[in-house]
Amino acid sequence: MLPRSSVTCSDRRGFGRESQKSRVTIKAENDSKQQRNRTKKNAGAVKTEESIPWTRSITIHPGESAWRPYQTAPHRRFPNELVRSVMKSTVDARLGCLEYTASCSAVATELSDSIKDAAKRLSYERYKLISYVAIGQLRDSDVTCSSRGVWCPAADTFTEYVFKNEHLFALCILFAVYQE
Amino acid sequence: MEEYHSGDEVAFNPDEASNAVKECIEGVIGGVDYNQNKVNQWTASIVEHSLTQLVKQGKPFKYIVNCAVMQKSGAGLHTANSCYWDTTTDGSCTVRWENRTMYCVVSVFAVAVAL
Repeated sequence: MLPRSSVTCSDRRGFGRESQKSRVTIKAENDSKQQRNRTKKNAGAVKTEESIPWTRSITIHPGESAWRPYQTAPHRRFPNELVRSVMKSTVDARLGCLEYTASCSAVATELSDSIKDAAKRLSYERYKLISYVAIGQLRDSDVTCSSRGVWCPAADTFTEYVFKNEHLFALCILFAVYQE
Repeated sequence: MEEYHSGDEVAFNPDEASNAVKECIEGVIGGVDYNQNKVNQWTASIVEHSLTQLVKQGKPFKYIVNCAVMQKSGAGLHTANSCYWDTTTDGSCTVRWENRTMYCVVSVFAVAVAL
């Protein structure tokens, strides 16, 4: 037998889920004994509401998501030209007329950190960055450098810059790998 | 067909990568002297073979391999790298090799792919 709050019955017929929600609220105010009786007689409907709380509706506002989205492609592709100009200004400022010495090891480390930090400041989301710097002495010897990658060519990219003065050369490469 | 380890996160194993790269270097320039005409071909071969061996391991990584070959003539070379990534899954290794006439430095960077 249904409870005195017959209002709930008509609400359920008219509005479905929303009214079920309101019915739960009303039921909470009733006597617990009545609720138990109701449970026995309308086992199906009441049980559904009480045992599966996720049937309540979730309101999602525009721009939000109820779950974490998978972005297989970047919204903005990593900008090669901008990064190259940033690398150029960083390297030219740091190396300038520097001569090659044993301390160039620390200079190479410092430069790779600076390039990585400058690229990070551009704030391209979901991009992992790898900065590689090689500083060598200019002294009648050949150096050959090649790189190759297995990656997603649509999203991943690299930028390189070669600096040269009278005493040394510096090869700077920045790889940007997208996190899918 | 290689199988990928899906479900659990696999961290990069630098020792395994290092051994694979050393074998590739030995295979390409082991026992030969520096030759300016062939060095381009050598660096390309080292990089390509290394990548093939790494991909054959069947791990869910994107790889970048960088190889520098320098003639031994008294000049110095310093390399450095800096990375912004997930340290629990991504990693790198560098292999230094030399013979009588040249140096070879190969760097491998591995970036995890979420499956």
